Amino acid sequence: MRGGRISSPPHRNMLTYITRRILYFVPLLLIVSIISFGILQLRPGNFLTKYRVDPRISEDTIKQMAERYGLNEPPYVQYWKWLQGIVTELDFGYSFETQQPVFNVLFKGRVIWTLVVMSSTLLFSWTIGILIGIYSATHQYSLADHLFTLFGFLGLSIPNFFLALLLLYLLSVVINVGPSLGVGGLFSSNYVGEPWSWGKFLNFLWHLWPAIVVMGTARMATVIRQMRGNLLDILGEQYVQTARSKGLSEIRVVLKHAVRNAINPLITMLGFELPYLIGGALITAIVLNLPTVERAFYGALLSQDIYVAASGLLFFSFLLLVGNLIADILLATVDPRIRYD
Amino acid sequence: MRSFSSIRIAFSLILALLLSVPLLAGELPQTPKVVDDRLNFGQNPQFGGTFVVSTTTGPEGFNPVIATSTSTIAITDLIFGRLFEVHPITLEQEPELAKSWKASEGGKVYTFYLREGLKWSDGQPLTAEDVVFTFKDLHFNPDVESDTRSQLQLKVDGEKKLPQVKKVDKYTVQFTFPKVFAPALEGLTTPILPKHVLKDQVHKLNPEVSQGNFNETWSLDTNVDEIVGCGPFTIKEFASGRYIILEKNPYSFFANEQGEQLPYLDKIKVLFVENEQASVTKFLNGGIDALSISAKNYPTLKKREPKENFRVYRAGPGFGTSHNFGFNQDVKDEDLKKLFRNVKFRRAVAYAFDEGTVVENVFNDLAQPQWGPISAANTLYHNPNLKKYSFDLDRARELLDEIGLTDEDGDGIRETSEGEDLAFTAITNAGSDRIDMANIFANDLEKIGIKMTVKGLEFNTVINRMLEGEFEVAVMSLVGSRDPHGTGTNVFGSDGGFHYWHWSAKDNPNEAEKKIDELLSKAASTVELEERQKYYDEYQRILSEQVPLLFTVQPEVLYAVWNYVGNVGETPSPYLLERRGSLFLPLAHLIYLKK
Repeated sequence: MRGGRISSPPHRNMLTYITRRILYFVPLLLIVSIISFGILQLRPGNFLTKYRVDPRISEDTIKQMAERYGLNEPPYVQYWKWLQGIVTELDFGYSFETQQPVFNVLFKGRVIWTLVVMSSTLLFSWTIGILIGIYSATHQYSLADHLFTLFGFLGLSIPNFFLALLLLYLLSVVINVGPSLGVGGLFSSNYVGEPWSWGKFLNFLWHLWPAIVVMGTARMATVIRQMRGNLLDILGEQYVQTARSKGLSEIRVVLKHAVRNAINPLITMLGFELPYLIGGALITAIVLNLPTVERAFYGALLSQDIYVAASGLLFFSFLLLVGNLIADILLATVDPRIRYD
Repeated sequence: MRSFSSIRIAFSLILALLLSVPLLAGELPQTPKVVDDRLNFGQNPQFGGTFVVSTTTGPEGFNPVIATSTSTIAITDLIFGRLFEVHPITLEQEPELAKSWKASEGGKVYTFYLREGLKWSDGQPLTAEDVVFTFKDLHFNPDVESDTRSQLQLKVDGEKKLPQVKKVDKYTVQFTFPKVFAPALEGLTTPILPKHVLKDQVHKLNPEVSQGNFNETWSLDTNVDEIVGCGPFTIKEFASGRYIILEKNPYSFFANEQGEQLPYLDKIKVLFVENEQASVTKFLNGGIDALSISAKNYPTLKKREPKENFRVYRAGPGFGTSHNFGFNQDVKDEDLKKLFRNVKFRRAVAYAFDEGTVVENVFNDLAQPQWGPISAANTLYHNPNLKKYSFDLDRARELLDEIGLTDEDGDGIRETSEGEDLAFTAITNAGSDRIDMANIFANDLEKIGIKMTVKGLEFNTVINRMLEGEFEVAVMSLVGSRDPHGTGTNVFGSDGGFHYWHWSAKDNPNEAEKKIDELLSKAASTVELEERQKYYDEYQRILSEQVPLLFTVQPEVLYAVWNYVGNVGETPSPYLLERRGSLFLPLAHLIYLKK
């Protein structure tokens, strides 16, 4: 895959490479969909089982609902119909729980918040992480280096839900920020349902930072350690010594020569960042009450709303594939040694 | 100068017109439902404001006809009116859209007289047409997934029959049942829907729409402006997974004794917060005005109460859910079957259930022992004089000895008649209070020489195994119905759909089960409350003596409210009821905010 070929221009290779990779998505996602649907079917009972303990709901009603939802059909028929819907009409099925198309449950009004939370977390953890990594490498074994390491590992080892609860408790009970600022959710109660305004936007930012901190600190340690390690390796290389001996200032040596090369392995890591973000966002979203795709997915898993759950899994797999592709493309752009066939 | 003043007159006329618009916006019917003082106990209630609450689950749709989940009903109850309603606190039948009604022919015929001048939230008149439409074209239409239909369906000579519904005049509707059947009345408390808005969505009335189309009408993705109601509130905005905002219905038919139109509130914001911890912090921060809480959060809030301007209330036992142990009387093991069918054995284990420790350790002292099938909250039918099996291990041992269960080999476990150790497994869903409860029970059973293993399974697995009768002991909660008939027939009736501890009773009921069936059918065939109470007293007495299910404890309803909220929590009665994760505001039109 990464063999060298000099004959054709690199950008054309790149284009065919991307096309091929995207074509690979199809069989991969197909397999993912079969496995996820199969696993969901393995769970005993179905969406309607819980109604059996409710004496207020008659068996006739349950039968009628099972008929309408197609739950009486064998699993492979259910799967085939679901797949057909996706391929022919981009219809991801029907949500039993919320009585509407899956697309509306999972994505409508949610994808935007998922993307905002994820991208701001990524920006936060990577910017700070890389900066700290550079500082730690250039000031190896200093007090600050140790402190940053400690801080990074604390962030890594404190579970997200705990940190989120801790922050909530701190804000609402210890400091008591009051109802106008508010804690949890996207806005304070008085801005809920109001049109956008500067006040509402600022209130939104106030509600966003705990999520960013909770999810960001969890990943920051990895970025710090990677950056620090890579940079330390590179700083020992001969060409860095050469640059120094040419009389370049230390800042120029580090930023212009060393950091550029030290950052490459991190880009590969970037592609794998998405699954961590999705996992972290799930728990954080539940505790901080953020309306993300993950939360809808989680709810569907609990209530056996199978089409929502299966579509959610499909969506996350798709994100993962895209993330990896983006990382590979980025790597090729920054590292001229890499060629694609 | 002259022209100037005419401009001024014109201007002030326009101004007056503009000012009168808000006055016109609220319109009461000629005969509004006046909420009497007994229920309106706040001091000088004030109008206006937004009440913010949270709930763990949002609605699953806005169509009350097909609604099965409590979280949906919690919302639709606020936007639709009923002919009459059973008051959530007094349990008396209260008139709503109907100003009065009368029963004739011994309770076979019901005639309802609607209030005059009722209007839907879009300003159209609400008449008998809408009532007939709601029952005849919706609930009684096999194309519609209505559960009310099965409630109103009566078996006459082995055939299922629905009542006849007929419009007498613009304001009068008559229901004729094929026979006297008291529980059916509860089926008539279903919300009334607007014919002019919905008739085109019903296949029967408009063949252009597909069959079953109505079941998907007024779902969550419907534009909320299309949802026309007649309750105290209408839906202003809904954001899936985030919140729902309700606002005062300008045509609400509720009024206070001063003749002012209710509700007091302008808006209710319901935030969806699934994590209880998150909603507690939000409440403490002042972002939520009232909150229903579980026993585990009670101490935290109670501790902060003296320093803060809120109060935490204990509203007594809950209405619905109760936890039970069911001993499978059809179990495959012959020895166990013989024991589980022996009432002395069931009584013995009932004495071994330590309700005090369970209440203290599992429910933070916030639950009450329950001895029968009807919760103490159901003041109309609860029988307080039942046989009580207060924790008494000696009494339990005595009973076991009487049956002839003894420990011959001295290993601490009694043997069955076949000489095998008396051991069985109790199943329940993992991660629930029931597991803790079962472990405490198992611990005490061991002291009297019975080995019970507790096994936590997935919820649906437990239900399936109960439905198939593939278990020895099962621990489950059952949702109680307001009229004892629902739970009674479904759970304790010998051919009930959830008579899970004795499925074979369907063909071969025992004497006690026959008696229960008889009492249930007698209680259903009279509309006289006193007579019904007599039958249900007897029904509870038999069940407490026979212990087909071991009743355990009933958790209390708990909630916290900020002091600036009026008409909530000033009595010990639950104005805010939490039913399975959904916040109910049965009297939301009375809530007000103190300025």
